Amino acid sequence: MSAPIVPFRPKEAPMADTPTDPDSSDVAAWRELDLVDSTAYSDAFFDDLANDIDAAVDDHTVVPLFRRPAALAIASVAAALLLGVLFLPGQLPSPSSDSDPTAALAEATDGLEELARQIGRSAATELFDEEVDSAGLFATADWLAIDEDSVPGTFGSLLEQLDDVPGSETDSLFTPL
Amino acid sequence: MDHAFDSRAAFSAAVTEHQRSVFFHALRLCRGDEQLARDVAQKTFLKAWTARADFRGESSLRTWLLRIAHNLAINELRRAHRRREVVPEDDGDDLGSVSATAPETIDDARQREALQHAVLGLAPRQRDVTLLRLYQDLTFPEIGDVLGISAGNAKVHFHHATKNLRRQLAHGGAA
Repeated sequence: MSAPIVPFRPKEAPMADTPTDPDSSDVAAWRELDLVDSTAYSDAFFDDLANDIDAAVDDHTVVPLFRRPAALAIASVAAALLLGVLFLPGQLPSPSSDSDPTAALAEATDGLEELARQIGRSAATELFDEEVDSAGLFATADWLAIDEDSVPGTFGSLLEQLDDVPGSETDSLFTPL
Repeated sequence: MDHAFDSRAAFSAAVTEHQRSVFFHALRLCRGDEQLARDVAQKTFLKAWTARADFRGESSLRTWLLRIAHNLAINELRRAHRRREVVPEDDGDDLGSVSATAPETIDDARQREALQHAVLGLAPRQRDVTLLRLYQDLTFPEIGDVLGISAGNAKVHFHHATKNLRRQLAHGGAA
């Protein structure tokens, strides 16, 4: 048979739940005096405060996220940025973007070479064409090709007269030159 | 009305019922700074409305609101102290805000000033228990709910607070 357990601490006295402490008149005096003058605040003051509280609560009433203007603006900007990033001008799809870049460069080089060849052929054709404009560069050569059957001009008659001049005179004529 | 706000009308009724307790508790903690106390009261009910789902009815609605108001007021005081907008808690020389509440007589004003100086000069926990016990008429278990301490602890703090107040007011000659 075991002895009953005796608690080390005596039971606490029942706690007074009443706000007033009967053993202290000081407490009643302090309560009466108060730290602030509550009579300075009228019902109108608290009506105003209640209105402010109601207004503050109304302002903070939860609105679904998709209905908030700020959320809509942020979503619009985000969508615009996303589209901009996905479809930059340099990123737009092109016919050669799928192939090897060197192949595209070779295509461009071949095109330039073909263009150069065409320009060269065109220039050579114009240069050696038989139907050359008479007023052009090669007209002078045609004119210099003297036709013996043509009517003698000033130059031809001069040669004929030189043929008639004796050699001694022509030597004296050309020696100083 | 000691239940959570299940509607806007119930919330408005709770504001009407408890706003005086909340405002005056904040006013006492804020040394009579009316604007600060008004802001605390407004934030208290706003927080209560947004966090109404957290109120489980384990304590009364009044003690729940006072707990919110008490914490907000302490935070506001710390913030104001950092901004140097109000005098530090330990500096009781400037009590002009109390005089601004238009007391009935000069004698009342002096006694109130001395009492405020003494109460707000207590250690924070003794000060909190004293304010809730004397001016909110809360029981010790209710004070424990507000401050997050046990009822016995609240009673011990109040006992030491009354002793300190008597000693300090005896030196100051008030009350």
